[in-house]
Amino acid sequence: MFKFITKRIFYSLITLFLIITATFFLIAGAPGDPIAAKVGQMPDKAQEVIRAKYGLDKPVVERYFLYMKNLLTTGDFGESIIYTGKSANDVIKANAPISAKIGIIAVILQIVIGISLGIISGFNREKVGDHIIRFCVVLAICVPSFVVAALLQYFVAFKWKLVPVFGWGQLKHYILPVTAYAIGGIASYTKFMRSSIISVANEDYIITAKAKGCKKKRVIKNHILRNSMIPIITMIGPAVAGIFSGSFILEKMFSIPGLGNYYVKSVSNGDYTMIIGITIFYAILYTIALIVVDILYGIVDPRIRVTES
Amino acid sequence: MKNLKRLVIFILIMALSLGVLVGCGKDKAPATTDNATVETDNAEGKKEELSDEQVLKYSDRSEPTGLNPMLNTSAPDNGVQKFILETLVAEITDENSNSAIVPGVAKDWTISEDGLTYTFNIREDAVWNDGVPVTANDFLFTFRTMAKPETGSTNAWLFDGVIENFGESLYNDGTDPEKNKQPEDIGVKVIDDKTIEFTLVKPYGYFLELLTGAQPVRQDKYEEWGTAYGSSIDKVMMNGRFLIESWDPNVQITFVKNPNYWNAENITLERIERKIIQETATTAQALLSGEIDYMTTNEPEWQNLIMEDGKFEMKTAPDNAPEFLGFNVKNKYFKNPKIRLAFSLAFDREKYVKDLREGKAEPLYSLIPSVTNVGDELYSERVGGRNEIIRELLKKYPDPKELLIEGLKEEGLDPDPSKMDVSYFTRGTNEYSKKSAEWLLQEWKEKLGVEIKIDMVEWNVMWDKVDAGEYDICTSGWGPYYNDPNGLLEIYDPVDGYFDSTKSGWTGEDADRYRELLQEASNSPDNQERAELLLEAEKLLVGTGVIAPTYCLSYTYFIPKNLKGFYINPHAELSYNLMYFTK
Repeated sequence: MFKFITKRIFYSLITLFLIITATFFLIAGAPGDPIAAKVGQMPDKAQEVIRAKYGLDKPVVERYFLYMKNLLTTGDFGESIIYTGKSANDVIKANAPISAKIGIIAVILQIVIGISLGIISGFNREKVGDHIIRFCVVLAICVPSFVVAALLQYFVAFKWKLVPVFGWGQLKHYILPVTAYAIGGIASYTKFMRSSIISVANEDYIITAKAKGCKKKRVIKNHILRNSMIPIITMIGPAVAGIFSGSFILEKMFSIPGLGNYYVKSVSNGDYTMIIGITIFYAILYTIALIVVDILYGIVDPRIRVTES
Repeated sequence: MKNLKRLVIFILIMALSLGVLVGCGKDKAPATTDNATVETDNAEGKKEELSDEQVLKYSDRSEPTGLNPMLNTSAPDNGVQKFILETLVAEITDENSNSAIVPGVAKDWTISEDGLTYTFNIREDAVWNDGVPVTANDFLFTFRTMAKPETGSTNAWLFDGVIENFGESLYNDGTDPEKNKQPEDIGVKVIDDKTIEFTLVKPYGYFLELLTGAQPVRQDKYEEWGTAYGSSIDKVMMNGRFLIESWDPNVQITFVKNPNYWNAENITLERIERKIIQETATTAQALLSGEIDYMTTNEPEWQNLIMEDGKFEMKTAPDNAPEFLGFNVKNKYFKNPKIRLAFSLAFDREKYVKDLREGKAEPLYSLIPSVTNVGDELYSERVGGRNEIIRELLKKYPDPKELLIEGLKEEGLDPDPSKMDVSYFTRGTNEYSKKSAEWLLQEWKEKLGVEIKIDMVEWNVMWDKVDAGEYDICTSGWGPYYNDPNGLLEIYDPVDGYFDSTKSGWTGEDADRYRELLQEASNSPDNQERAELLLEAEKLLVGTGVIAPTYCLSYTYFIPKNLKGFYINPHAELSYNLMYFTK
């Protein structure tokens, strides 16, 4: 296991390095630059003065080595060009937890409710409950989260005045975005859990277990549920990484000061330091989530552990 | 079995963390202000009872990028800085919705006869938020810092060629000892603690306008905090009407009235809450739920819903940024003024605004929008309405097609307009860009018989093409940096305008004369004479069809009926000084 994890971490570092390099050159090559976004249509020579201040007049390769040196020696993503006086680290520290709070709650709800509904549906195939759940699932998967959010905002907040229309800081501000965020995921987990249970229930080893005279409860708990979890775990990895990136559209609709918002704005502003900083942050989270998923696999499915070692 | 337990524990831990996270939500007590009920005279002289709560809540789409007036000069930055920083002179919206220059930190000023020297007397009672008096040195330091290339000030270029030696210091590249100057050489001089003097290169009639954008920084703190100046509320010095009480990034900035502000007694608002809302739907619902006080939207569905509510009044105000089409004057067709003019005259501007902007815009018959001033008077009034250039031309040339064919013949080209090969670049690929391009295609086909080719491109691609001079017709708009026709006309200066002759292709006699007129105007200390010269220049630009002005957007504000003193002018801030809530 230890060897396996070290190997994974080593590969992740290489991946991160490639991501940083690729992002740096892609952004540097993209049309428009932060100065143009910052100052609008000012005379060229005035723009040159400002470019020189931020070192943007230097060749790309030189900037790349400077950036990497700075990143590796200090761990500093650098000062934002647009949000002067703030480093990308500050912005991540201040805003990632906000996205995470909404994301974690939503993902937990997705997993807990989704898996439960999937189990109910899967074990009651073609019964009334199954039909109702499946109908809702199709509906929830088809309707995008921002439509759900707009409806929730209009009815729950605006018409019925149960929660505020927008804002951040209090418990009541969580309700709508978390619900809108969770609904689609709940539906996907339900759908996957249901089909997973159905396919596992038809496996030969389940028939064997039943034939051996295994108690029904034990068959369900130890054989069916456990095996149907494996595909679900694959889904949890990216979902956990997505927790921090948040849902940009929901953050925008409910005016939540999350990181997603900053990310999108820095891309449109061409704010190099912020784009690269936040990209690295997401990349790290994503690789960690993937490692965790691999470890979880090993826990749930001993066969994977055996082949890996 | 053991492993399943671990999984269950894992899920349990995650579920528990939910409880912890929920506990993290900050609880803020709603702010209350205890004001004694005061009575005030309204415009009609009737007594109106003031509300106990003078709290203005509004929303903006963007967070300010910072509070350092040297570096943070985007619209949201200015929107916040105008509350907390006071300039020498201020630009406000008055009771007639006109923009006016009024004393700020400077209680009065004198302008020398030749219009080259401005002397400002700073008021005795102007203080920073730590009680230190505002002095002439604060402004000297501010201007010298702006003129330093290392500062990277984003507003500094506005003073190039205006204040003596300013550009020579800002663009000092160390190559020419004759021309290169130091920040200490700029034409800003401290006479005494409370008197500051500016020496200009030319008698710019809009110099006071420019000064309204020069917010001060304080030397001791600027040197102490360095680049962190303005990055948080404990790292900014304030001298304005309001002070920032709290700043919750991307959520809300709360301002409270500055008790030490010299004119505090004449400001009724006690608190201002600036919230961040990006979506129109959210803004409208927040307005109707009472979470914000006013908003602006041009979306008809929300407008109807808001008006149905009955609590709001609608006020429309034109913007100051004209939209126009630009013709590439180097093009084989558009080098002929008659052909350009035919395209400009052929489309119905009233219809354009009605069809494409739901009537929420002013059709433009000249480049300069109606709200533009020359000095303290409207440009259109100074020139007696003679600036409706397109209207005049429509009388002269009632059939643009005839004009077009004439032009084609003059150029020795095929006089059949349907054979013309003209392409049109959109500025973006959104619904409006698409619709307006198709609208123009239709209109020109009908009136001129020309079928243009539409190139749907992103805005930055269009600008790249314009930079390279590779276009036939482009669509553009411009927000002036200061309230003067020159702020718009100078962009077409063939030598150093944004649309210089490499972009516009405009050269020759007219172009030279245009530049001359702008130069002459900038040398004249007399605003009436300046207005006439600028009108001459505008007649060249619009009258020979180098550009075809289209429209200028209007903004529709929804204001609660108990909020009085709300006046709008796009050049100045909203009339915060005049606003108050009644019961």
